[in-house]
Amino acid sequence: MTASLLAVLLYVGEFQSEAVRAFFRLPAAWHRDVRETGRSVGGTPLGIIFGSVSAAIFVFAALLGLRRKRPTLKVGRLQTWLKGHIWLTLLTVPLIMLHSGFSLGSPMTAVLVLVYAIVMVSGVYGLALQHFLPRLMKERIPLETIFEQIPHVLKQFEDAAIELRKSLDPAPAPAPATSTAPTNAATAMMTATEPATATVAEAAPDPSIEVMKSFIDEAGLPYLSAKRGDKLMLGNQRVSDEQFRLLKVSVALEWQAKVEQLQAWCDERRQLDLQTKFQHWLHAWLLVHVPVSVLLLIFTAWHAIAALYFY
Amino acid sequence: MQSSTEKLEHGQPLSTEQLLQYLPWLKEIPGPQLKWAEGAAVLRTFKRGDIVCEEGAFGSTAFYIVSGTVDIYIANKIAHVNTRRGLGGFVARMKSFLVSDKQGQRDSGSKTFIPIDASIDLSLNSPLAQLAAGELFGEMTCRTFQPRSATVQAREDCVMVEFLRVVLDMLMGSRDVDAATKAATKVKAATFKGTTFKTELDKKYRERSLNNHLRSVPLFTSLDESFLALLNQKVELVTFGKNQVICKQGDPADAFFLIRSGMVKVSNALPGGEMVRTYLGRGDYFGEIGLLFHQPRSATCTALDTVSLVKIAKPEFEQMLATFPQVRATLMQVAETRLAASAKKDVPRGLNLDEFLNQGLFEAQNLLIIDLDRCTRCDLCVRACAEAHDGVTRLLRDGLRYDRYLVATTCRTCRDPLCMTQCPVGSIRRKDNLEIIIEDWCIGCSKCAELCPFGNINMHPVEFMEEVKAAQAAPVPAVAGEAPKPAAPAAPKKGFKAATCDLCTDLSMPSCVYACPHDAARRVDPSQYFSTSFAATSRWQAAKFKRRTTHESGHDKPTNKK
Repeated sequence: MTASLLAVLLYVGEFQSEAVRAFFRLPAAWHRDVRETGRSVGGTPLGIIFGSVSAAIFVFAALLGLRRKRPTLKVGRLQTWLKGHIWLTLLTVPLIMLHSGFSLGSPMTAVLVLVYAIVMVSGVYGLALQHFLPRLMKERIPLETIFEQIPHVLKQFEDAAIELRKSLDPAPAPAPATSTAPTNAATAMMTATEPATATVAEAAPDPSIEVMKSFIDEAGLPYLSAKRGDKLMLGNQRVSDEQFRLLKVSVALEWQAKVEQLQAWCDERRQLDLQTKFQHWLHAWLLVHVPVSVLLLIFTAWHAIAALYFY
Repeated sequence: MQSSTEKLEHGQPLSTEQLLQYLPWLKEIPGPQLKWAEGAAVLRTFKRGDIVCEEGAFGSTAFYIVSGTVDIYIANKIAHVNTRRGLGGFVARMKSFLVSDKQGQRDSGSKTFIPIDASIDLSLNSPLAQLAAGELFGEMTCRTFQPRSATVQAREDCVMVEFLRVVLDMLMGSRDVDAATKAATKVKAATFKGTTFKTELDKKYRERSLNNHLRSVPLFTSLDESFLALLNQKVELVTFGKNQVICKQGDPADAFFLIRSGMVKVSNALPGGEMVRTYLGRGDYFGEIGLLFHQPRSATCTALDTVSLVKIAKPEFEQMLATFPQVRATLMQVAETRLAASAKKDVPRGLNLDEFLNQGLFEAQNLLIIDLDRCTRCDLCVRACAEAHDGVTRLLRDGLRYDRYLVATTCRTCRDPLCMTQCPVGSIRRKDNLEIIIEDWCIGCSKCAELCPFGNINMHPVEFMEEVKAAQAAPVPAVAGEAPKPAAPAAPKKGFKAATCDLCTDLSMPSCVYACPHDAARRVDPSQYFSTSFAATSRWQAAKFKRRTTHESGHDKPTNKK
């Protein structure tokens, strides 16, 4: 704030008001009257100072990227660097405005200002996201895990669901014995009753198993194996809760634990999907901010060379 | 490494009669009980150069040498993993080296010997010794399934009896079964009184090893030979069973104890339960505070398993203090340090939260916490840790949550450091600044890593680390008829060394904290930090409540009471 105020006072003292000129102006030899010379403010000594300071800040801000590549470098804490990055780049707003004399100038400078605006807006947007989203993540994703581990965890859920589905299929019938003549009466009786037992089992399957099978086939497995789960039915918290509630009332008591287990997997999958989304929001703005910042540096260098050459 | 279910898979099974031939002391055991020893012992023969057992291997047997001599030594490099600031001002990082304490790069403690699972200790300078016929080794492995503490190699053709715990108990006497074991099994455990074998062992120890043992304790280095001889005659050799209380807090102090074998837990009874002060191992001592300051015992000392102690009674102890002022001065210094450490570890007030206790945060003294309200999940803390430690991170940005903090997976410097309880060579300890120290003689058995409840000790392969030239190499055992060779460069071995978070002590602050751009990563003492935090929250809530009640009462107050 102090630096911004000082810059404004210097600007007013130099170009606008006689009243403050005595205190806030550059040496007389450096004074250029823009109305007399017809030059832009940026071409005056004060304008060049504003521009140079801004350019220096741009370079410093860009160094943060390199600084993050070597986090243990003994050139000050990253926290200090980030603070400097934020506050100094905010200072460039008044500096650039004063440097430009509140006009866009030529098409080249207009493009430069546009690029600068994109960088600043994306930066402030990212700053706001990084202040707001961590808190939201903490509250909404209690089962948060390491981001890189998410695909692995999701695969584990999928495998577990496949195993659960397999366990619902009846065990394959044992191979018929080829040369095992019954050795005693009891064995003979057992052998005789086996087909009858199997027939009874086939005739009266457990309805809970059928319900579970169809739920896993139609909703559970597709959701747990989907690349993007949020488009599916179980991707919605309310719908999922309702579906599992219905499933619980449709199956016998001994299947409740399995249903709850499946629901826990789906709930965690939903949280991990949300974490992925938040993670992208937290860092995706850098995809705009960083390349446009590089562009800004290039344009600034181009602008500086062109301006110094022509003036 | 052998499997932990090592039983009597090799060797010639011994019948009861044959066993009595090799271990005649068992004749003192009643006949019906002696039958239990059948199948529990085998006769093994080793040729010169054969390895009897390797350091770090898990096992469940003890060995008695019938004939021949063995070399007992530590083959792993006598060095520790040191991460220190590498070259370069701005680009300085932590770099891992294998270095020895001889280079004076850290507080090396005061031990000059390596405690092993035998009747002798190994010298730190040359960790190699011999055991001859009639000696027993592997007792602690047999009793507590600790990994083998040293490598044993036949120096000449040897014959040994290898046996399971039942035989050991018959020879040495079994210990009281603790309440937990009693509750867990319906089978009544057999108890043995022991044989004269133990008496003979104690006699041998008193004759051959006690003086060396006393001498190896830095405390007693200033004692002269005559007083040592006197002590040798006067001291009592005592043994305590698992969970048996050696001395109780508040009891009158009547003796000083030197640990001969086993682990002792030092704890205090507090309103919230027991608080473990420390664990002491072979060569450590306790009981000096009460005797020095003429006060009751300041802590309870309990045997973690079978513990053998050298007990110096109060009159001899006082005579020693009066005769040797140097010993008094050293003891006073140690006692004051211990008292100060106990005072530091008092229970913080205002923290009585279930979660705090359940997550083991109460155990921690130095914790890496990540404020989830600030953390942008950029992982710079992990990258910084990896960058500071040769690409191997010692922290994971994952773990349990407490309030709005993530308790990252990294060393917590626990109040009850379980990692120290089963080290077969006592090579893990703690410095005054709470940093965990892995001593040079770590054999890489990974027991400490298994015991750490938070998975915060990792094993570093020795082969990937640069070795500082001055680091002492493991000794090469001598062959029969030759004197033990001094330390010499050993063949490269695929060993491991335990390592844990070093708090980046050589740097201005931990790398993870230094690298966090959002001030989310912090190293804190949880009790202090959270109690302050909760106190502040309580104050704020109280003030808010007061404001609200004042405001409401202002409305309710009658304006004109006549």
